[in-house]
Amino acid sequence: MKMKWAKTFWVCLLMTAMIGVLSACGQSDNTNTASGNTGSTGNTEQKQVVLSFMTTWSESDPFTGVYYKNAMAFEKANPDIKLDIETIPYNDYPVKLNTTAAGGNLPDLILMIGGGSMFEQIARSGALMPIDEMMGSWKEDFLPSSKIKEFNVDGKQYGIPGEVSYATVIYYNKKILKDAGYTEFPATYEAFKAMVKDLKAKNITPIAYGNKTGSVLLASLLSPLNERISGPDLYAKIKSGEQKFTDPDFMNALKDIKELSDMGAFNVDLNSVDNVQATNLFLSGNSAMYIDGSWGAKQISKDKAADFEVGFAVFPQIEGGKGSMSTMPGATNQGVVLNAKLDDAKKAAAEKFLQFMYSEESYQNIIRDGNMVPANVTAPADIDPLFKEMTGVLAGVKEITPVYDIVMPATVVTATKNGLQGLTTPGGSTPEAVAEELQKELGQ
Amino acid sequence: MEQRLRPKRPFSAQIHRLVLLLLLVINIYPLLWMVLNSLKTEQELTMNPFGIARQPVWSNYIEAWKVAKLGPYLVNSIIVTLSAVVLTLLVGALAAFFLSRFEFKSKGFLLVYFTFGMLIPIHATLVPLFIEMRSLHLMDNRLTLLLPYTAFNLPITIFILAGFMNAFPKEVEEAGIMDGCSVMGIFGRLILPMLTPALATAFIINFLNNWNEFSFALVLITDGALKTLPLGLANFAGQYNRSYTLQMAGLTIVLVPTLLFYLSVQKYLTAGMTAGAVKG
Repeated sequence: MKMKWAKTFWVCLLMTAMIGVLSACGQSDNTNTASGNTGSTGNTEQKQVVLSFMTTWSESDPFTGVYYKNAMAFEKANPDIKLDIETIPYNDYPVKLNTTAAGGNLPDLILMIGGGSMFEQIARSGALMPIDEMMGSWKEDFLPSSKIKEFNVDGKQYGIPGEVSYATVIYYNKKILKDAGYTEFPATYEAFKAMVKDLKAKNITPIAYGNKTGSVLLASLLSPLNERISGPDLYAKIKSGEQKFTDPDFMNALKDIKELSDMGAFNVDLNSVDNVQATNLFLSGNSAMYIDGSWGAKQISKDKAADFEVGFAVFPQIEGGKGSMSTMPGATNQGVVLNAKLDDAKKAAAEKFLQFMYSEESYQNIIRDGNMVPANVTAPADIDPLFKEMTGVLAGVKEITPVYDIVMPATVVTATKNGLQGLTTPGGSTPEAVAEELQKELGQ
Repeated sequence: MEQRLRPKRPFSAQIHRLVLLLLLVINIYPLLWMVLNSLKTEQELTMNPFGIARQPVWSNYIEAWKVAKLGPYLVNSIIVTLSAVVLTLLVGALAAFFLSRFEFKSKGFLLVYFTFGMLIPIHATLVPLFIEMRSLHLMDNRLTLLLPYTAFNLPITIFILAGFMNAFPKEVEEAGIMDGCSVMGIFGRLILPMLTPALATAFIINFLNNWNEFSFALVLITDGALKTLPLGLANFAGQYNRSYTLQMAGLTIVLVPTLLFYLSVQKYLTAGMTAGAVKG
């Protein structure tokens, strides 16, 4: 027995040692094949170009599935180009992107979920290839430069967005509002507030918010309030130090949010449910309105009962404010950028890929899937009627202003999210405290 | 660990039982909730988060299996987790043996050195580790995760094993030497068998750590064929949507191996406690 034990032990030890040795061999094998794929030697005879592509697009995701399908269509149309797709879950994408960028190991094609600060950093580091020389494929009247400027850093274009997301759309239950005596959605903020009060008095939850992550109040309430009160350039002014968070402009927006919250305008659990749960609250007839970005329409269209009537509204005008209803905070998303180190063959393949992914046909697929696009494309006839109605309501929006979380430094964004959650919690923080905290966080 | 109830004191035994029952409910309820909700539709979950599904949606499990790519990821997770655990326990036990049973100059320093390893936050090491693995050409193969998993679990393993070994009486080794045992013989024949309960504890901690580990797997593995379960489970949350019911179905599936491993090791946790080496 004792002998047996010792034997087992030594065998184990030996095996561990062997794993170590074998692994060393296996690993060098791997690097050989890997360098064969990426390097220019050996495999150049083979015609197929392999482009590694890191993305969040996945077939089963209702929001990015259309992009995945477009990419698959590209592969089918170009048998000489193969996409080696690595799908990363959306929430973890920034970590992976940051690490691979910091490690200098970016793949050939990289998805940028949005423009803005994170992307700028990588672009300025020189890791990405400007595509200015490829831009000839897109005419100005097809793709206005004002709509793709978020993917432009220091005058160089790095990518083209696939879609535009408007940060605030008010979805309302037509039946509830009609029963409460409102056949038309209020056009001014005062009238809007009066309606909220009235609904509350009738024991209806006026607005459902799913602010669990903190980003919904930020994008869909604070941003439009800021825009309506102060006009489009408030954030730039605050960043440059021309204005402060504690100045009346920003302060009034916070006070408005506090006022709504104290009024009981929101579902009480707004900070502990997410947008899916809030959508369900709205669709089950438990709230009169639901506020989220234009992306919320897809979930609503998918989950709503057949006889449920949804109305759409743009955030109302504030009397005496500098903003207008033809402006809306929004962001452009889903741009693919290129690794700066691509060789000529890969570069040509990547150019083909971009031309395909941001062509009229691809954009039409994106629209058909329920997204707004930056390009001037005639909408296909067979789109979801609900989505068509929303595009009609949003057609009046001519200008996009940058959203808060793309302009502001990440620490300020986090502090704002927390601040807004504090504001909307009974007995939580005051607008003054939040504003001071933010100013301190900005450090100016 | 588990307190033996003495028949002499029935009243306090009742109290114990009540407290334990309460703890059981507190611990089991979230799991039960997860299983119950894994059978609902999204809508029913929001409307009725606590009740039982009116009509169990078994297809959630099939869908979850597909979305999270559980098939290949489960195999990968089992391979990576088990090999890392075995390696960690083997290296950890050897290290703990020398750190605990031998006297040498830098012993105190080495113990502290390993213990400090527990204080390093994993996220701080992501980028350097990524660069290191890339330079060593260790990205994207079966061993990629084995090394960091072993390294990051060694401190706690050594800490547990050495602590446990410290309590062994010196007489055990003396008896071994008298009988002509070599150093490794003492380790293999005397110390290791006595160490079983501590090894079981370390096994469970290691297993859970590796099984649930996310950041390294996310950053160091690019090849879809080598990814592990936590990466698959993250697929349930998209940019604007999150399918809770599928997620719960996926989590329920993933829970099963964890439970099985725990149950299979759990008896060693207590079995070794009473088996003293030096009797009388």
